[in-house]
Amino acid sequence: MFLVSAVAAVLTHLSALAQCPTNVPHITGTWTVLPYQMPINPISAHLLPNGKVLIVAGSENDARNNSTGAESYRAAVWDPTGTNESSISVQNLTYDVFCSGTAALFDGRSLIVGGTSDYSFTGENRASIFNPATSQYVQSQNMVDGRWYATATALADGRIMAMSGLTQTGGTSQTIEIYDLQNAGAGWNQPTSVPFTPPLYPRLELLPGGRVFYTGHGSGGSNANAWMFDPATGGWTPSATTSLDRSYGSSVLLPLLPPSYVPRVMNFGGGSPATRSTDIIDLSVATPSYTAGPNMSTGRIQMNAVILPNGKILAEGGSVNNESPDTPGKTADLYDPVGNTMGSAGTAAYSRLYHSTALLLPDATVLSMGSNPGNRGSYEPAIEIYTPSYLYDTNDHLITTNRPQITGLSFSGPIHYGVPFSVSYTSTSPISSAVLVRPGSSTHAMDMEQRLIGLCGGATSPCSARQPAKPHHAGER
Amino acid sequence: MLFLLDSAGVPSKAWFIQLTPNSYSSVPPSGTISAPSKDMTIPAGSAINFGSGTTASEYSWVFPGGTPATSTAQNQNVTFGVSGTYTISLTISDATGNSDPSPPTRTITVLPTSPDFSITVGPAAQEVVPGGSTTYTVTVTPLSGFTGTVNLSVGSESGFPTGITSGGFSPASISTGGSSSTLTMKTTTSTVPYALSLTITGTSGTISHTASTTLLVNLAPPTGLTATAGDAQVSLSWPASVGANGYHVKRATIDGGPYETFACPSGTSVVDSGLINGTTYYYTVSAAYTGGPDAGGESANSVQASATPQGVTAPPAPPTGLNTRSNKPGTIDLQWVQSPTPGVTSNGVYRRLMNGGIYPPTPTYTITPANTSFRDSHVSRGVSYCYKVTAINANGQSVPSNESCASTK
Repeated sequence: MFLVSAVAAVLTHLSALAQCPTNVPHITGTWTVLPYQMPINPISAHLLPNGKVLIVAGSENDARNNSTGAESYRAAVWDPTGTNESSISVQNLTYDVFCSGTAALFDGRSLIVGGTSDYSFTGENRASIFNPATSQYVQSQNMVDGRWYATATALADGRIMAMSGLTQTGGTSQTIEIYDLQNAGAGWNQPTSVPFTPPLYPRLELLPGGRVFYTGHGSGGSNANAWMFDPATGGWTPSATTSLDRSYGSSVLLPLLPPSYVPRVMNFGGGSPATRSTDIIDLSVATPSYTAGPNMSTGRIQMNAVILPNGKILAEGGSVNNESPDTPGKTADLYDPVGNTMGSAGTAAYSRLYHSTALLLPDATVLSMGSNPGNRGSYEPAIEIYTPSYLYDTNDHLITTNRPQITGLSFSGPIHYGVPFSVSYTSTSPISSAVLVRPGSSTHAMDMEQRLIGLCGGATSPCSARQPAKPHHAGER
Repeated sequence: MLFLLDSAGVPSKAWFIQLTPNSYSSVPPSGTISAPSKDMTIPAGSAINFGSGTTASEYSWVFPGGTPATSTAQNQNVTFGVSGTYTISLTISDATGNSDPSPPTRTITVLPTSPDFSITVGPAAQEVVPGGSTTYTVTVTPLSGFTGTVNLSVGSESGFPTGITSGGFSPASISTGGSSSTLTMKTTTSTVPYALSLTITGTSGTISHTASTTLLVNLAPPTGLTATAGDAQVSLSWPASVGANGYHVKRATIDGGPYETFACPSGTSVVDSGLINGTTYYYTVSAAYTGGPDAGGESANSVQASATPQGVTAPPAPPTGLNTRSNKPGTIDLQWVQSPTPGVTSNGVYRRLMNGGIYPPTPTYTITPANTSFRDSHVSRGVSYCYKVTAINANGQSVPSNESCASTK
């Protein structure tokens, strides 16, 4: 009886405070600003297989850093479990990787494709491989085309495809080049042609079966229709028509879940003034087309969309007018693909616009950082962490120890597709699902890498933790 | 990253897993038959050891005429009891499930125990247009000491349809030693499209063997399709194809298709109306025959023709050849080639920041009267900008010109 009274008293106290909308941790999650700042402009960010974050900045959107005699091309590795700025190690690079594309090779190293040749914006045709074990960059084979604003996409067989970007002479590349780690000589395959002029940083999603879907959208423009690319043949097929310009909007391959792993791609926001709208395409049907999804709470250009382990999508940052901070953009949205609904994900402290990045971290929180609208050479150094509602109990207390913990796997070293394995864990509640999430690679309002594959869960695929049997669920790490 | 989620939806921290594609290949496997190392000729009743030198997840042998008739073993002993010529194939699959797209084969010739012959015909099919003729080569191979003359004849299951005739064999019979003869098949211009299965019979005394091939009579696609643009319509015409009694007229909005059929006229012209002015449409036409119960067919598509309907009220064509350059500090000069459409009254200039900017919905500048050059002096020094130009007349604004970018001095 005493306990019940105490709870009632607390509830009364809370409701008295709830006079205006506030962030309720167990409903919307929370946004926290870290006590230290990012020492370089985080143009792009990639989660590494050791849990650290690779930041590739190059000349940091500052032409002075790309001028003869004053070259400054920088990158950093950040350990997000650190408590002060010493967790961030900055290093200098030998060429300008500003506006490159990054995807992970199947051995866990990162391939960094292209960059900036000069600030009239011509493309760099060099590529480098970053090794997380040594924190060193090694230049790899050159591409034929220079690529400034190229998308790098890991394919089902572990190769990495580079598309679009401005070439050495400033035109838009209309070729695909594919990097093959097992092609020790040339590295890159002979370029194959693209039958249309893509926008910069085209939004690409690898599908089950190995084909690559281009949403029709990119950074700086949209095409009249989406396209499908088959890496096996180099062939392109026109796909659904697009309905509006989603320049600098985001796209996400929605969670691929058992038993049927239906591939659906969702576009968020984009354009200026930016749209609140989303649209979704189901690529399992014979003639796919875009249909409207729920609206976000505000129009977002230069936003980021992040897949959470529970399959929901965090849509955060951006603004209605490009590079013009606004208050509604600081309030994030959370898309639930199961109910096809949009909910609130709380309010961040900072606007995150052009050159902002966001990543799912290994502790299931989300990193949000960067933004340098307007003034070149200056940027927002504050780092924010979004802690989703799933890490709060019903009393709004952060769940720290009482969460599932993986203690081991039934294999060591790399694992192949289609191989069953078992997971050892401790948990006070039964395990209901297991998912693989590929570490993200975030830049220019897109994530080239993130994808979520459900291994088990739900009524039809109860968890005896089995790997997906199909090879196209590639490269999760 | 592997996450476990509990029944309340609380995720674990991630455990990193490296998934490698080593067991996966997008390259299909290629199998080899190592034994026998070449095609073989054996007497009926004897056996051959078949084997593959390729390591694979699965083997699928097919032994027509053999016992066993199939096998999934890497190596298999097979007995052939009946004379004939058999094509043995091996299809291997890898661990990913890819199968060999071009399975290797061996040809096994099984000889009769008494004198005999075999007969073959090639190619497996010939295609002609109505009125055309074609030839096949018939080859007789003596087996087990066969001597004698093989007489040749050609037929089909229910006789030849109207218009198809045999031009006979040259020579009409094949004598000892093994040789070939040429069969000619003829059609008339009234022959309807048809797939005719031909049976060639070789007879020598009491011994008779047959071989089969196919004669395809197919309409030729129309040649010289023309497409003429009008206001919201395109007029199409083409010369008649021999033997056709109708045409399938097809349209696409993408160069090269895919096409969809929108008209099935019996004549050689059609008007495609209700189109959108300013859009380029791509056309092709195929010849068709829809006659008797056994006939039917459609030719391949003709060469593509295209047309862009233009209305009297259409907006102008865009300016072309836009060039930008910073000749004077703090300014950018634009030059372009004016729209060829008469009556252009002004030009719209659209500008964006090159690095990350996007174009505004309405012109940054509107230039009246229309001109072919412009100096933009509202730009910052040392910054890169991109431009597009439109043409405006009483009917509206054109689509934009090419994009051109420059850095300000």
